[in-house]
Amino acid sequence: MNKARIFFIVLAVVLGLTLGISPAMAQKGKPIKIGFMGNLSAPFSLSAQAAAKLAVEEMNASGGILGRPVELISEDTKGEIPKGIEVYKKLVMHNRVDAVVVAEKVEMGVAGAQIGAELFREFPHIMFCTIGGTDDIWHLVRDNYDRYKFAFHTYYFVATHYLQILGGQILPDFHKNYIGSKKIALLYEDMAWTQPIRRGIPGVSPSLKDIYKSKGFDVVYEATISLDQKVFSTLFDDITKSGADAIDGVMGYIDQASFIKQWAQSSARDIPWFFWGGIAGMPMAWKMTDGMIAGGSIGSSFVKVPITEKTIPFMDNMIEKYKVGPIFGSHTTYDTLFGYRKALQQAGDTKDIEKVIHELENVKETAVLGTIGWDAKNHHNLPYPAYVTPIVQWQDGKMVPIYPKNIATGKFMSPAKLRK
Amino acid sequence: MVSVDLKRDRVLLRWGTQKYEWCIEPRYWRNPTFGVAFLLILPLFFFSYPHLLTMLTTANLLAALAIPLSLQILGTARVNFGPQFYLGIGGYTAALLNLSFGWNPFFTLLGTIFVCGSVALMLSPITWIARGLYFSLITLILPLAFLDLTYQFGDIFRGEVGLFGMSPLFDLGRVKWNYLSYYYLSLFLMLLYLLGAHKITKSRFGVSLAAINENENVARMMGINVSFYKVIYYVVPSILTGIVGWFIVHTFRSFAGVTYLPLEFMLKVLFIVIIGGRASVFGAVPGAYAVSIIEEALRSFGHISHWVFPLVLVAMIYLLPRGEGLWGLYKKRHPRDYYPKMHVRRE
Repeated sequence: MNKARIFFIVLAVVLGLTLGISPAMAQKGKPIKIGFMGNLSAPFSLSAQAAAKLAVEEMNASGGILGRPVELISEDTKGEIPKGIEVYKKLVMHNRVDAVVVAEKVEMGVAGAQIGAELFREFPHIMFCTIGGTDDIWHLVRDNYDRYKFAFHTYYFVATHYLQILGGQILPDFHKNYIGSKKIALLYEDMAWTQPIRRGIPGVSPSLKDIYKSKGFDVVYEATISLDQKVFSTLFDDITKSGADAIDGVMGYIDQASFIKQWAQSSARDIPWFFWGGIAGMPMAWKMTDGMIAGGSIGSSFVKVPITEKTIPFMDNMIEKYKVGPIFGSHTTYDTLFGYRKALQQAGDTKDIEKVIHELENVKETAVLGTIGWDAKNHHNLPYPAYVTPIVQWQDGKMVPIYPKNIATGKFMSPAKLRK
Repeated sequence: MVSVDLKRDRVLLRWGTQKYEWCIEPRYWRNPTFGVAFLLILPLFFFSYPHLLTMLTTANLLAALAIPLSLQILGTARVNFGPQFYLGIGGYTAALLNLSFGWNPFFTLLGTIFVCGSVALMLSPITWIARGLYFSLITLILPLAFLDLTYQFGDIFRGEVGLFGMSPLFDLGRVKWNYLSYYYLSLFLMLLYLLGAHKITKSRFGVSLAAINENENVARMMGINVSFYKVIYYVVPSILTGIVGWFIVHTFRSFAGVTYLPLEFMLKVLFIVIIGGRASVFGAVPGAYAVSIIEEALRSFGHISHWVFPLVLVAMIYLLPRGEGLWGLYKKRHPRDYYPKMHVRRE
C-alpha cells in the first residue's frame, strides 16, 4: 500500500472520529442536556468538570429533573477562543443542550456570551459562567438585558463584590480585629480582573485603597505585579521600609510559591499577608513552599469546614470518586447545576425559556458554600453572606479556618509566633 | 494593437509591449479547479454540523495566515517567528475602531490595513539589520511584548478578557446562513491570498525573490534592490496577516490577545507551513485542513489529546517527505500536472 493510500485511509478514520457522536447514553426518556466546556488541561476546568459530573450523577440518582434523566456533554476548548466558539456552537446547535456551563477563564465566558446571544433567538438556552472574577458577564446583562438575559455568572466574589463586600466589610474587620494592623501594603496582579479593584468603579465603589483609608487604615505601599515576575526580594524590602504591618494581595495567578518562599526569607517575613486566592489556598502549598507558607492567610474554599450540610460530602466525593481536589470553579459549577435544577423544577418545563430565566432569577437553593441564587436584574450569584468563602491561615501544615466566626475553628497567629 | 495567439497549451494576448498569457491545457488547471470545487461544496456535507463549519472556517483562516508567512520567508530570506503580532495589531485595531468610534467593518478594514502597514513599515528595517537567529528572536519577542502591553494598558485592551461585542460582518437573519457565509468569505480570503502568492512567485518579482532567497549579495550584484524588496515582503504579508485579525474580530466578535499572541498559536501556524509543505505556498491549504481536522478528531479523546496532538504533528513532520509535506506527497504522484516554473530552494 503506498503512502498516499495510507494517508487517505488515515484521513477517513480521522474524519469518522470527527463526525463521531459521543457514546450514547442508555437512559430512558428524553434527557435534559447540560453542556460543559472548559480547558481540560487546566486544573480548575478539570475540577469543575468533576464537580459537574458529580452533580449530574447525584441528580440522576435522585430521579433526575422533572422525572427526566440528566445528560452531561463535556467538551474541551483547549483554552483557545476559536475552539471555544466551535464547541459552544456544537453544544447548542448540534447537541441541543438546555444549558451550557463555561468553566474557564472569563475571556471564554464573554466569547460564549457573544455567540450565545447570536444563537439564543433560534436556539434558546441558558449559559452559566462558573469561573472568572471580572464583572463583564453581569455588566452585559445589566446593559442589554434582552440580548444577554440567558447568561448567568457564579463566582466566589466578582470584582464589584470584592470591593463592596470583601474590601468594604470583611478585610477591614479581618485586619483590624484579627491581625491588629493599621498600615497596609497593597499588592495587585496585573490582570483585568484587578483593574476595578485598583481604580474603583465610578458610581459604584471607590478603589480598595480608598476603602481602606475610609475605614481608618493607612495605605503605606501600593504596587502592581506582573504575572511573569519571579523575583520579589526588593518588593519586600520596600514594604518593610514603608512600615506596613499587613500585606493585602489582590492576587490569584502570580507565581505564589516563589512569592511566599521569598517572603519567608526576607525582611518582611514577620508581616502577615492575605491573598484573595490561588495556589496558596490549596493543600499542596505547604509542600510546595517547604512549610514557608506558615502564617499566611488566604481565601480558600478548599478547607473542609461544614458551611452547609452539602459541603463535606461534596469535598469527600470529589476526591473519592473523581480523584480531583475541589479547587476554584468546582464549588461554583456544582452549586450552579443544583440551582438550575431547582429553577427547572419550579418552572415545571424546560421549553419555556422565559419561565426558566424567571425562575433562575428567583431561585434559592442550599449550596456547598451557602445559598445559590442569582440577582434578578444582573444575573450574578448572590454574594456573601449568602455565598461564603472562608479565610484560612496556614498553621503547622494545616489550613485553619479563622473567618467568619461562625465557621472558624482557630484564631489568627502571627507568622513569627508560628515559626517558633 | 491587440493580438491574440492560440497556442497548444496557452492563449497569448499582446497589447503594445505588454504580454499576457493564460494556460489552457487541462492538466494544468484541472487539479486546482477540482480542489477549489471540493472546498466550495464541502459545507454542503457539514451544514448540519455548524461547529465543524466553524472548524473549517478556522482552517481557512489558519491557511490565510500561513500563506503570507510562506511568502515573507521567501521574500525576506528570514523566518519570522512572530507573524501573529500583526494578527494582534489588526484584531485590536478593528475592534477598537468598531467599539470606540462605531466604524463599520468596511472602515475598520481600511483602518486595519493602514495601522498594520504603518507598524510594519516602521519595523521593516529589522529585515536589513538582522538575519538568521537574530531576526527570528526579534520577531519572536514582538507579539510577547505586545501581549504584555495588553495587560499594562488594560483600559484599552482589557488584558486577559479582551474586547468583545464588535459588530458582525453581516446578518442574514439565520445563524446557520451566517456561519455558512463566514465559511465562504474565509475561503475567498484564503484563495485570494493563495492566488496572489502564486502569481507573485511566478512573476519577474518572484525571480527577484528567488535570487534574494538564494544569496542576497549575488542578487544585489544582479541589480536587484534587495533592501526595497525586503521591506515590501515584510510589510505586505504583515498587512495580509492583520486582515485575518480583522476577519476574526467581526466573525467571532470577541478578541483577546491572550489567545492569539502567545507562542503556542505561532507554533500551530509553523506546523501548518511545515506539514503542508514549505516548498510551496499551496502547502498551506492541506496543512491547515490536516492540522485542524486532526485536532478536532483528537479532542474527543479528552485531556490526553493535549499531548497526543503535538506527538501526531511531530510524527507527520518525520514521516512526510522532508520540506515537501503533504503537498509534496501529492505533487510527486502528479509531476506533469504542474506548470513548469522556477524552483526556489529553501534551506
